[in-house]
This record gives sequence, structure tokens and C-alpha cells, in this order.
Amino acid sequence: MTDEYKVKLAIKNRLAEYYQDQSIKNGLSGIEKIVAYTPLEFQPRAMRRGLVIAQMGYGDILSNIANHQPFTIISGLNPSSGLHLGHKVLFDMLLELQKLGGEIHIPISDDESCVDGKVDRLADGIKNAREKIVPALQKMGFDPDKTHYLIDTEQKDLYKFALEISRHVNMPELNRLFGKEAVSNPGQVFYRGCVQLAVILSPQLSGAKHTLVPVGIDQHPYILLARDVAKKMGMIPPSELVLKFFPSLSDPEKKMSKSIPDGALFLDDSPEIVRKKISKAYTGAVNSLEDHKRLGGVPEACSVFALQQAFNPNDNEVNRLYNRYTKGELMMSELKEITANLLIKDIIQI
Amino acid sequence: MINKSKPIRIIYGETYDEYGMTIDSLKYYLFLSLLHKTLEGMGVEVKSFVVIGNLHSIKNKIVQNKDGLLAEANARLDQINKIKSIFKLKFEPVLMSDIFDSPEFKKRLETIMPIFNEELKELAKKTVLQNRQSQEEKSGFSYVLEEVALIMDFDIKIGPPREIYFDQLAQKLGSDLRGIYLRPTYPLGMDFDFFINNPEIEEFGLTPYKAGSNKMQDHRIILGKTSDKDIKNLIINSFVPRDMFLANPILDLACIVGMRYQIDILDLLNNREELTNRLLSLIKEIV
Repeated sequence: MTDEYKVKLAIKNRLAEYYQDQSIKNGLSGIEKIVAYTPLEFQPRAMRRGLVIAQMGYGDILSNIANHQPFTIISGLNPSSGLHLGHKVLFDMLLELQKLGGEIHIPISDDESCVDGKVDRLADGIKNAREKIVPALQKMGFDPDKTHYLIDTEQKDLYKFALEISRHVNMPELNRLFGKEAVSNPGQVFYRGCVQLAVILSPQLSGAKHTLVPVGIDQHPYILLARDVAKKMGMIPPSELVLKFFPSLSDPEKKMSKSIPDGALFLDDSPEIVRKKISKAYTGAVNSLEDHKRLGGVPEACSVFALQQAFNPNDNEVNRLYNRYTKGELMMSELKEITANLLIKDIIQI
Repeated sequence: MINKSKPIRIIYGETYDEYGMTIDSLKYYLFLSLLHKTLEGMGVEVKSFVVIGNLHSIKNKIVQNKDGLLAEANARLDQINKIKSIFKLKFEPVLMSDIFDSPEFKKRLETIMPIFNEELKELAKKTVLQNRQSQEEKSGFSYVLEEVALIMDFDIKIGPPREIYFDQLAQKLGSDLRGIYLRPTYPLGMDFDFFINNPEIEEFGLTPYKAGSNKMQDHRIILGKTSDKDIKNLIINSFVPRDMFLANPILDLACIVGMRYQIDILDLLNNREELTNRLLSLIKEIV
């Protein structure tokens, strides 16, 4: 075993440990029984591919799905940049859940972008939401009758509801859940302690309903708070699915983000840019071809294979690629080529 | 453990409730008889018993009409004898009350009571569901002690997985008893989400011989009571998982039919109509 190969293995192990630790630390339930029992036609691709790592109360949503009862899904983003593929993993899952009966609310938190300083001015977030994000989302195939795009600052009733919620949350709780640095200005306190909870619970203002919130692990404190507030207000505590973060192209242990532009693939990147970024991406194969054939590769530490896992619609093809990868039969040039082709043909919105 | 110089004694014990005999009891009768015949085929002398737990059926304080339930013991004995005769099964049904009256049982019970220490009490708590632990503790663990004194007289006990704690207690008290645990029993007519939302039932199953276990009597096949139409609906509406090792009530029915008619279980699993027809025929034989 070469030192380079050991590095790849260490990445794989660190990632597995990270998600396991996070699940335990946050009191989340495992996903294994759900994956084992749920018929494949009721499992979003992200769940079948191991991109969902934990859940809280998802059994309630499955009962709705099994009984063909509608439910609500809430998941959104802050509009500090255009959409990248990390966002698309989430929205692809929302699209599949919509086909299983979910009515989708996509909150676009321009208020969060502002209070966290992710945009220079509030107006920049609103502009980005209106001109880039909503149009891109509208191209993804959501049922327009069952999809609501909600820019936070344009929702007047939302802020009234947030004020009501403020009576059910206290500062020590916020500090404990988010850490003092994340609630360090009054806007952050109001957003994290009230507005975001109002977003999650607002579909229940017209009557109690089961709500699913798919999130990244960093959003889990919101769900905990929202479940707590829901109980106090006689609403149904929302359910949660926790997704793995989608890896940066340049570092599989970092999240894909606009702050590392070469590590992110944006939905409006040109085919040339896509090919260029993928050609430079970090992989789970060692550099020496001879060693790769002898040792095999580590797909779990590969930012290019992560794209196949998330976006290739063919389960069998992904399994075959995985097996060839681990046996050292799949060359990285081939993987990069087929991945770029997949993205350019079916995923990127040119 | 096979010693051909003395007979092997096998026990399967079951209590009952007011709803009647479940199809799941047949799984145990058929398996017990199959084991009995297999051992006999190896030249071993075997004595097998189905113990009808009449006294333990009324022990739980929530049981109403205890006298009526106790009086049903002989009818249950007759029913098992009928099944035994028609299916040509190899075991003897016996009432728990008859065993408890014997001097040998009373002696065993007296012997184990003084050595039932704190460690054993902790193990005894595991034999009952959490909501019945305090009731059992207040009674001085009388149910557990009687059960253990009963099974200590046997070499092999057949039962559902949850009974492992009784067997461990018997072993700690010096018995050579070995347990054989059949797959847990699951309710019929449930979709996949039931097994996700009811993890305790998913793990341990229902009490096979009590139709009213977890108040799921409408999701069980009760001999002579569940109509053919309801049986068909229960089978059609039962979820079958991709993985054979997960909760699968249809697999149990296939095992029962397979053991009775020597049919390949996989064939039955793949053809629910055939399974249903065979099962209805089987029930008609004994009801």
C-alpha cells in the first residue's frame, strides 16, 4: 500500500466517522431500516445512493407516502450566489418527493444572506433570488401547482408569525444550539430564533400537516427548535432527512461552495468550464497507473465519482463504475470524460 | 448433546387469549413434530410436548373473565389433539395445570426459589415487556419462576426469540436446556411503513400464540374465525420486503404450508394465489 493510497483511505474513513459522530451527537436516527424496508420506487435517488445519512420522524412521511396522502416539503437556500450542483442534489430529491405526494415550499432566505453578511446589501440577495435562482428552479421540472417559491422578505405574514414564535424561544437555547458566534447580531438572533422557524411551520397555519425538511447536518438545530416550538403551539413536529454535504471538486472533505469557485460547478457554467473544472478535480485514485491497477481506487474519496453518485440516473451503471473503480479497472480519464458528458448533456442548464 | 441412552425431551409452551388459536401456533406444532421425526430418524428416543399454559394465560392482571378463559383449556386441548391427529404430528399436548400439580414440579420450584438472587432477577425482568415489569416484580417473579421450573425439566425448548431470557435463566440455574427460536411472528395486512414506525414489533414480533398480542387481532389469521375473504385480503395486502431476513409475515405462512404439504417455500412466496389457496385448504382440514 502506497502513502498516497493511505491518504485516500484516510479521507474515506474521516468522512464516515464525521457523519457517524454528527448523527450520534445530534440524536438523529439511522436510515438503514428505512432504506431496507422502503420499496425502491418510494426512495429518492439520494437515499438509494447513500447520500441521506440520518433522519428524525421520517416514518410519519412514509406513512403518508404509503397511504397516498399529501404532505408538505420545505427546503430552500440563501441567495448569495447562483445555483451549483450541491444545491441541485437537494432539489432533485425534492422533485422526486413531489412525485410521491409532496407539496413543495422553497424558501429563499435573502434575510439570512443579509444578516450573515453573505451579500453586500439586502437588495443584492433579492435581485439574485428573482433573476437567477427562481428562474433556474423553474427549469427543474417541478409541478407549478404544487411548488411555492418564497423570498423571505416578501412574505409579510411570515414576519408576523415569527414574532409570535419569539415567545417560545429563549436566548440560552439559541446560544446552545447555534453557538454564540452564529447569533452575534440582532438580525441573526431574529432570523435563527424566529424567522426560519416560521418558515418551517408556516404551512401549518392553515391546519396541522406533516412536513418534511430535507437539510444538511449544519441545519439540524433549526429542526430541533422547530419541533420544540411546534409542540408548544399544537402543531405537528416537522420530520427531517439529513443529507451528506456535496463535496467540493478540489477537496472531498469540503462542501461545494461559491467561496471556492474552482471547486463548484454552477448550473450556468459553460460546457468548456465544466470539462476544465472536472479535469482538475480531486479523485480517489493514486497517480501511478501501475499502482492504481494493483491497489484499486477509493470512490468514497473522489469528487468526480460523487457526481456520478448524485446525478447518474442509472443505478446499475453507478454500481458497475464503483466496482471497476475499486478494482483499479476504471481509469480517471474515462471517469472524468463520462462524468463531464453526463453533466453537459443532462444536468447543466445552458 | 445427543445421548442415545436416554430420551430427549422437547417442549413448546403457549398461552392463549379469548380470541382463539392463531395460524402461527401451527408453525410451532409442525416444526416441533418435524424436529421430533428427524431425531427419531437418527435413532434417538424423543418425547415432545406442547404445554397449554392455562394457568399463565390468566396470570396477567389485565385479563378479564379469568374463569371463562381457564375453562377453555380443555377445548384447546381437544383442538390441538384434532390437529395432531389430522396432520399426524408427533407430540403430546398437556395442560400446564396438570404439570404444576405434580410433586416433581413443586420440588423444582422449591429448589430454585431460594437461589433466585438479584442477578437472576435482573435477567427475569427482561422476560416481560417494560410495562409489565413492576407487576411481575410485585408478584415476586412468580410467573418467571414457574416458567423456569417448568422448562428446566426439558432438553430442548422451542419458542419465539423473546423467550431466550427464560432459557438463559434455566441455564443459570443449572439446566442443560437448549433453545430453538423460530422467526418472529408479524401482523398480516400491513404496509412497509408499519415496520418502520413500530420498531419493537419489527425486532421481536408479536406473541405468536396470542391473537390479541399488541391488540392486532384483526391482522392475524384465527382458526375458525377469520373468514376466507379476510384471509385473502390479509395476504394480498401484506408487504413483502426485498430482503428475506426482514419482517415478513407471508414467509411464515409459506413455511406453514410448506411444512404441511412438503412444497418448496420459495415457490409459494412467488405465487401468493397458490399460497392462499393452499392455506385455505389447510385450514379447512382442521376447522
